[in-house]
Amino acid sequence: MSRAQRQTLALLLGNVALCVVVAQANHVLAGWQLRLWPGGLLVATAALQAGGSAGATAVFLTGLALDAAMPVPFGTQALILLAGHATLFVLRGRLVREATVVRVVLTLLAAGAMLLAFALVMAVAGPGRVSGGRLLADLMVTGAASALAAPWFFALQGGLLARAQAGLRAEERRLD
Amino acid sequence: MRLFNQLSGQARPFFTLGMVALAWLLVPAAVKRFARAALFEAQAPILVTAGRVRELQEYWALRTRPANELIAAGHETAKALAGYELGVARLGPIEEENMRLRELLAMPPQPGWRYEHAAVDVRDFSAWWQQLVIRKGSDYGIPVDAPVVFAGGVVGRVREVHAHTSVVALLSDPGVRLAVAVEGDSRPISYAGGDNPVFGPARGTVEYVPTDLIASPAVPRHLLTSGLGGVFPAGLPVGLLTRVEPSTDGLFNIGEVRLPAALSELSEVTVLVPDATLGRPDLRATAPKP
Amino acid sequence: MSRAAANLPEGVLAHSARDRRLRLFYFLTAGLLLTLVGGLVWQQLLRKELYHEREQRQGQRRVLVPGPRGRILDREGRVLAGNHARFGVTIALDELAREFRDESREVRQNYRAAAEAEPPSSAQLEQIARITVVQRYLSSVDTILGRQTRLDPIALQTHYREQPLLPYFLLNDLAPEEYARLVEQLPVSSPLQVFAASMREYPQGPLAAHTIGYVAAGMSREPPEDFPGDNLDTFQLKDWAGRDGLEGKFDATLRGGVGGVIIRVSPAGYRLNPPLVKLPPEHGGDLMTSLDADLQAAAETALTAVDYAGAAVALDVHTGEVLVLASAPGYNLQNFTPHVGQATVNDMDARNAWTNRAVAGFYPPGSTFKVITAIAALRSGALTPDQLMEQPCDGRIPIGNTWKTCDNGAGHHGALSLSAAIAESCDIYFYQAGLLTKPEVIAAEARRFHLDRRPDIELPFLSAKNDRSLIPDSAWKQRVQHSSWFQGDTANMAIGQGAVLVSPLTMACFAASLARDEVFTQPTLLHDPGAATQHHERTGLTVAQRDALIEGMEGCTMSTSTVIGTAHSLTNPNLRIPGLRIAGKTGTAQSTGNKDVAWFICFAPLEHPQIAIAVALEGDKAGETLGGGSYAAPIAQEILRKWNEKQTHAPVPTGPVRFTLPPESATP
Repeated sequence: MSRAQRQTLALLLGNVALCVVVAQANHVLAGWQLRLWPGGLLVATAALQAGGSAGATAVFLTGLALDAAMPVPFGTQALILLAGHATLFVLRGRLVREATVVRVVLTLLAAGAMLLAFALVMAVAGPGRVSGGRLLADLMVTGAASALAAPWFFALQGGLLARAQAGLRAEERRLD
Repeated sequence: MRLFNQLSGQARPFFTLGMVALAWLLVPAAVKRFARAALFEAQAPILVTAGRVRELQEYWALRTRPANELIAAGHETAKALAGYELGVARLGPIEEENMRLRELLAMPPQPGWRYEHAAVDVRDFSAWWQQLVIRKGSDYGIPVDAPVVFAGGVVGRVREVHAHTSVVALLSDPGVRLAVAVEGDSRPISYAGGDNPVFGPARGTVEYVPTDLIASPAVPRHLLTSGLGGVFPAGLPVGLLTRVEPSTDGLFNIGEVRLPAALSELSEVTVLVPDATLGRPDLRATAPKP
Repeated sequence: MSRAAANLPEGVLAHSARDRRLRLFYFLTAGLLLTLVGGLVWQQLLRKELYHEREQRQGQRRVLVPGPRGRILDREGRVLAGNHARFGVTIALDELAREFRDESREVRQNYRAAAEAEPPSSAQLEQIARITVVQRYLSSVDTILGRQTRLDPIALQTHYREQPLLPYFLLNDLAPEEYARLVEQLPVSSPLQVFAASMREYPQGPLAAHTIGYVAAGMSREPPEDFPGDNLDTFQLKDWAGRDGLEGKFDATLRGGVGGVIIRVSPAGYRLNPPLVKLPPEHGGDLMTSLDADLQAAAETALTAVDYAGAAVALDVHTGEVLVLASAPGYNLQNFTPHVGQATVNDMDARNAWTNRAVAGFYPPGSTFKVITAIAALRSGALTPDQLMEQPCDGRIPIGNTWKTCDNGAGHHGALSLSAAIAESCDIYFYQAGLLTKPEVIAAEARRFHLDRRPDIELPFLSAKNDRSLIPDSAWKQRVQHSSWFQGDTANMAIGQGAVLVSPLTMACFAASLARDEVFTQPTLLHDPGAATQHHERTGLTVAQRDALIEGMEGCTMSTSTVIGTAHSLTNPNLRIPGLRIAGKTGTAQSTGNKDVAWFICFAPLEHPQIAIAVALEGDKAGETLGGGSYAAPIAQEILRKWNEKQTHAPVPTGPVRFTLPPESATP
């Protein structure tokens, strides 16, 4: 198995674990009509630290897995996550992406942008009866939860990548 | 390929994105359907396991309760059970009488249902959809569109059926619509899931409410399934009609429905599976003839 | 190459910002940027309106809904014509563009595969595809409803050509149960949508069909001026327009005001709530008629039972309010909604059921006219109540060059007083009375009682042109028949024969006027609970003269040892109403084609009259005897019986509705 494949697998495993945890959180939050959307965290490490195609593959597959469990046109979230990944990937050369604070801030920005993009897509493809209040609340809860969980999740992904011997040393700052 | 390699590092990810999006549009629908089902099935064990872990958690939480409390709860359960048994015993003769009368009047046999109780593994309430994943699927013969109920009334309808799990669209899902009626009235009203505000109990909307039916938050009216729609049996509670206002057609009112709060905390539901062996007629057979 | 460049190591190129060759690029870049910015400004700021409008047109729909039509009530508030909801299914053709395209491609491929010599043109292909797709959707509805419906391809094609963006009505006659099935079994985002519209319903069945009149689909009123969205695709539900009867006459009042909504539709076809603009349509005004559903039903049942064409009219003696306005043969208004079928039209034509005979039927009044002759004779002094005629009735009398006969009482009336002559309807007596009185005096008296024209009433199509009422005189005969007035004409007129023509409504008004001892009664079909008694010119009869007249009319409905009235059938045990004294007059006239017309006019109770009735029946065979006493009087008696019953158990009026005449429909 090549290094890129191991990287993809490690990222995917971390993402799946995150999705499971988020699903459990949503199960509990359902009573308050709130919902977390893990998009920001799903793309952050893959885009900021992994190799281009390995990260993109992991992100796209994660997106498809998310789509499979939701009543949305299949591929919607996969493509949105891929777009988020591409944007972060392009920007990463200009950012101090080793700093956890920067990664958290980028995660939050990406989460917000992608959730809004998702809302736009759903306005066209979905029932489109969503109130702005509900969207804002989801955005805020997602932001808060992402900010809290990000350092741990990054550490988890770092650990997984190290375990897979696909550490991020090679992807560290390189002007390509 | 050379062109791809020549692209600068900045544009390459977006180029890739564009190519993937284009390729995705060209993938045949059947392939997508298959991939979606496969990916769902791949996740299903994780969802079910998570559900089981939660049950285990509950089990251990109960184990920590003092024995006295459990004994008291057991007594309560026994009392409730006795009450239900009495009720069932009383229902027997009434049902027989009902059957006899229906036969006398040569009425078609009433729809028969098989009850499939299922645990809820996932509650997924987004702004755009409200759904549950339950732990029974085609392995228990659950069909798409089957009604799902709980002790408090209607839960929703089965939206997707997988091998060992099913996805249930809740009453509060905007894609769910059914024919309801106000308690004590037989005229059908169209109910649809609606806006789901933060923190609040889910809400639905009704259309075609006869103008003589009045309801207000102080004096709400119970909404029950009408049984006329051909999917849900009659008389299942749906929610409370809390507000009506004139509709723009000038013929009917529209209204707002408050759904039971328990709907967002369900852990067990029952799927009503149409069962021919229980005398349920074909839906088309009962349709009015032209 | 500049001097600075000369200092650089070899192989390294340097450039300066002031390099002249670069300026060209600066200009070029600036030009391109300017174009870009200019374009953006042009698109975003200047053409904003256009895009805004385009976005509106694509995502918004204006639905105009006519207000529900007002109800027509009887005088006790019972609904004669109301509304009920009619459910239907529409299909949004604009959402099917893609399916139409796919289907069209498939059809083309099928034609190619079948190697047709001449494949259809692409317009035809598209048409086939549209019909196929819509029929497929219709079949899916049929499957849910368990019925079979055929699509009307021509109607679909017309709709698609004229209003492709608006929903097409697939079905519009769903029962509530069927609508419930569709609500539950059609997907929410399906292009098929359920809708509701209002339809006329008649809870009393065919009651007073001619008077109520029918409605037909028509264009609704214009929406209010402040209702926005003129530029949007507008989906307008058809309104109902009154075409006849009260529906036609009071259409302006009964019609509701147009309301509507502007809704947003998401590209996926979901309707977005709440609507952008919402204007509830105005309910049309209710119309409280003076009709009494019970009496009307009694009259119609009795008319149907005798199975002759005819009419019955009953009035409130004091107010002139019409309690019954019945015409036979009748029809069922329910057959006119949602539209009238050819079968109904053919049936109505065959039975000659379109005419409201109560107001548009003109018949010679026959012996009922003798009351006018009597009044003219008494008032002119030609006759006193107790005066006996020169020639007693022995069955025939020579008048002019011919013998005239007495058709009543088998010619054995003998010498009679006025009241007995009225009671037994002796023709010989009235020939002589007519001759004594002079034709001009009788005609003048008839005109004084307004028998020469049909009274105004709130029904459409009643103009002076189609008013065939006629009280002939010598001038008329000279003008129309170009001959002189003979004694025979006077004799004919005295007994209501010859050219005299009146409508049943006219005669009911006459009976009511007589009951009040006045010469005119203005009838009305609108109920006013506070209406005062009408007052018009008095008849001018002395007490003794009036007593004699009324005695004769009461005698008509009685059978005693001295007098056997022509309506003595009313004393039969099965017809008699104990305790009710009735003043009546029968009539049997020959109309065109030697067909009998049976008449009966009356008012009751004699002591203090409340209700006045006129009944006319057309014979349908020449030479058949259709006596007023035996055919028309029992019908009036059924109305009286119901009326009498209600006097003892009068129900409390339920309708709080008061009706005020709208200015635009006050004048016909």
